[in-house]
Amino acid sequence: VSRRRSSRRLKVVLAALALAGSMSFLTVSGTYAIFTSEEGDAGATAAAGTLTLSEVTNGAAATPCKSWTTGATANANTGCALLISTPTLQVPGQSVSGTVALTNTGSVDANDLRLYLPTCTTTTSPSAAVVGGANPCTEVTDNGTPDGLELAIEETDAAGVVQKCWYPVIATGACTSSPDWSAGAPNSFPIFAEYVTDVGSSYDLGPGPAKGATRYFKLTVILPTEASNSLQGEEALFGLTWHLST
Amino acid sequence: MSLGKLKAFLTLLMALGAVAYFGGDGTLASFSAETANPGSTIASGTLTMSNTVNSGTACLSSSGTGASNNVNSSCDKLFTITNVAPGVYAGVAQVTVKNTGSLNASKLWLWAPTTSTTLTAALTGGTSYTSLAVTALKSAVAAGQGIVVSSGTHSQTFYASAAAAANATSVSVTSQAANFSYPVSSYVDVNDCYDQTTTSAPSGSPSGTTYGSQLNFNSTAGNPMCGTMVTYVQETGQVTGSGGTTSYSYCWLGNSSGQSLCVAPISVTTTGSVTSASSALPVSALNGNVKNGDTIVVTKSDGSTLSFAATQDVTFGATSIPVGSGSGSGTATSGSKVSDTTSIGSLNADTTNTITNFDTSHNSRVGPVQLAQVTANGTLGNTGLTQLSSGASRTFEIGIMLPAPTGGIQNALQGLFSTFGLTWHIDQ
Repeated sequence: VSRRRSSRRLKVVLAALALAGSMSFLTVSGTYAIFTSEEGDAGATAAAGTLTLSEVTNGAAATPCKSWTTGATANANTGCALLISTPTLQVPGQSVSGTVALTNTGSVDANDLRLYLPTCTTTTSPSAAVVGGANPCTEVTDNGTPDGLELAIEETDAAGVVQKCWYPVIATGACTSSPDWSAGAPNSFPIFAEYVTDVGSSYDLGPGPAKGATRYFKLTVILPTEASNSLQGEEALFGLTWHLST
Repeated sequence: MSLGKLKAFLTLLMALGAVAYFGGDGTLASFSAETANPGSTIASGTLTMSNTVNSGTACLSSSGTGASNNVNSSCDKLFTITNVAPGVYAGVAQVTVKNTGSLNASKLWLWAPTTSTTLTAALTGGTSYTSLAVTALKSAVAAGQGIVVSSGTHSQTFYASAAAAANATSVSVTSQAANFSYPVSSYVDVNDCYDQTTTSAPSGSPSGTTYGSQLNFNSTAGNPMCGTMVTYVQETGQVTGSGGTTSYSYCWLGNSSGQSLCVAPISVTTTGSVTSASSALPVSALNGNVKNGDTIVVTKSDGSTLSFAATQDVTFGATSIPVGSGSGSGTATSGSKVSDTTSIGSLNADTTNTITNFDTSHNSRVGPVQLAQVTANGTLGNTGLTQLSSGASRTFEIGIMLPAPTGGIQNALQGLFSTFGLTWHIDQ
């Protein structure tokens, strides 16, 4: 009896071992090493370029105002110098100008330069004895005749010689030499102020400057000879924004 | 018999027995025959691969700089691209992967070289952490690399705040509160791609040109350029083990993956004069794909353009683009820039096929891409087919572009550079 029990126990043990053996075979086989080979192309780099703008207002001696340094946020500097610092237009026919030199200090070319006028507010001239009541930021008409402020945007060479009129007409040479300008362009300033107020509505000044290049502009505001009396004693406060994009 | 004689007699009997036992047997005659098979050998085969970027030197998995245990992580860089602008095709690299071993590879894989490990200390949801305890890192981690902790359906990306060496068991991270209580053994995957700022202007730039580290609006936090640049992997053909060639196309990754052709922009020039009446545009070898119907724009020297619609699919290396009658006046001379505005437009709107998404979706642990045999354009064979026979090679084009989404301002990406890679792997 005891031999039979031993034999049965032995069979059970052998069966268990056989089962364990087959289980370990089935289990372990998955972890047996197979041949593998591997390669990596590591360390590829792709670097973005830069597109930054430097502005010199009214003369090369001025300190450039940069889009990317102190005072700038997100590549926009809203604290550059005044374009027109002697704002008083005494009598109709007088004009006042400012110049801007814009340099692409980035590493990529600009495909587009744009200009817009985000803010224009009116106030009374500080020394005004008479106040006409019109808003120079908006179109002014007397008896159906437009007679608000005029604006001319011209591109010059580095020496300041006008090469092209960009606004209110696009023409070779100075704006005033264009036939379309012969009668002046009353209200061209308020039209710009009313309708060219953000990037979406901005005025296209063509491609460039390329990296390292500079474009020069002259902006002139004119009190037209036929200016309305309602503009007497009024003042316009406005800002201009130059926008460069790839 | 005396005791002495008895001992002598017994000793003699033992000696006789020994002789009979050991010596007598060999003298019995019998028939016999014998053969032998000496010197059998069994030799293992080899499974090795090479990797060639463009026209560079083949990088071997088995030998050479960087190779260890049949793994070579130091093959040539795919790119060193500088001065990328949004919306402009950045570049493409060609990689040829060859089985240089004697055994066929049943599987060929592609994945992002993500380093995977696990947490050795749990994270408690809501608690902020500045370091993660992990099992020994298999490779070094650079400051800024994204570290994805995941468990089940939960995941969170931390960012390394300092470099960590291979085998390190702790990684410093930018402080962040855990969004879940991640248990010990949660997965920790270190994304491969990371961003840094450039520290000099591109070679040849005008004096005073700005570069990344000068700017104050281009943070690398979160690796934004890795998360914006889109990529594709286009297979263009193979050489079989017997030396035959096929040129079947298959888009493995990127916009239009699973089709024959990826959306892969072109940046080429005309090699002859073109007018709006041209029926085909002669161009330098294509570095991308043109799909039937795509808009092809040729820019003349004065900046004006001619525009055409492609009338046929053409792919990498083609030197002619069949087109229908175009619009625009004048003649574009040889050397005029040619672009595919349809493909550029598609990639400008692509936020899916980014390098970061490749890292997180296709690494060795999650979603490795098995490169089954391509049996016809846009068609895969059964995955049981050998994927890289001994002596065979397969060729891939890997391209990248920095999209320019409509109306989007990409200033935050100015002056950044991304570092990334790919891993190719074969199995017996």
